Amino acid sequence: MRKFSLLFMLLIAVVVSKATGTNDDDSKISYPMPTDVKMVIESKCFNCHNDEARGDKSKKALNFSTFSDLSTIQKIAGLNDIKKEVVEGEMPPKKMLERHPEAALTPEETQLLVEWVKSESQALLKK
Amino acid sequence: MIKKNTRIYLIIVLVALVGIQFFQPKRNTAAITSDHLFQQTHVPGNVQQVLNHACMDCHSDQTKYEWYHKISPVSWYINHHISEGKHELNFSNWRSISPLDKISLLEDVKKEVGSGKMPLKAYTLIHREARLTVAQRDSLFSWVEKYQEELMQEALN
Ligand code: HEC
Ligand code: HEC
Repeated sequence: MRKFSLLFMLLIAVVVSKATGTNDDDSKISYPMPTDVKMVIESKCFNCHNDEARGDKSKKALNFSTFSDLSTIQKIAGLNDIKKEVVEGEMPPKKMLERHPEAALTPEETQLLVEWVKSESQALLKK
Repeated sequence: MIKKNTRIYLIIVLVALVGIQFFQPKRNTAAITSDHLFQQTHVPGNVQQVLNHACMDCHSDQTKYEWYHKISPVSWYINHHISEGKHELNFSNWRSISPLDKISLLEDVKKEVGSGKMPLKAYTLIHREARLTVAQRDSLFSWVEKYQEELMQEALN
């Protein structure tokens, strides 16, 4: 019983540190974006699209770890690609959704990403 | 003397080869319209030449066919490249593409040519004029970058 409660406390500690960790301090994505957008990208896209991702192809196509370092044109092109992929329902890949249907974007999340891409692109264009 | 069995096989293959000539994909040879990239913006002559020699056979509605492209199964093979290529990027439909999508596509052009994925190897193997020199590549890229800046202005309006 004692072992069990220790484990339980540990679990709570982990959950709490995770929950508070979504603030900017140890966020995985350095590129500035609204928290709700960041939460969607971190949960539904980041695993395949970062420096440490296993797939070379997905990393080369889009890398959130290095997105801040891109030129303005490259950022605009990248954002536009994100919009295209989510609108067409191409991302996350169908192959993954067959095994993990819960990984799909909800219509609200898709809408959120599309609106963010639009406003972010306009902001970049004005720079 | 060819053995009888072999002769029968040869005849079957020959008949099949003749037979499949009646099944040809639709030719990709529409007339150029004002929607074409070259009509939509000023593209320097040397860059037009690069695009014509290395890309337009698969990325426009105007493929220049050689005689052997009209023979099955070669015609099927190249038709597959043309329809896939046009699906990704069609310079003949340039007008209908939004400025932001144009910027993305041009970025893809830089990526694909820069990494040597385009033009396809299967193509440069036969089309020597499609093997780009460093100078040709540079002129393509500097046109792309200049045009992307213009498109950024367009996208703002
Ligand atoms: C299971 C891994 C995985 C997940 C999750 C995933 N992707 Fe991808 N993504 C890939 C792979 C693999 C490619 C490369 C596909 C290719 O080249 O055919 C890719 C390519 C892309 C591209 C480039 C497409 C192009 O051709 O220009 C974009 C943009 C993209 N993903 C956005 C997203 C977004 C946005 C999400 C989250 C909603 C996401 N991805 C989630 C694996 C993933
Ligand atoms: C023999 C036909 C052929 C030629 C020649 C060719 N392409 Fe392609 N291209 C394709 C095909 C097929 C695809 C789609 C499949 C793929 O990406 O491999 C494609 C895809 C592309 C894409 C989209 C890639 C992506 O996934 O985002 C770009 C950009 C591109 N080509 C640019 C060019 C440029 C620039 C040239 C000339 C320098 C060129 N291509 C020459 C057949 C061709």
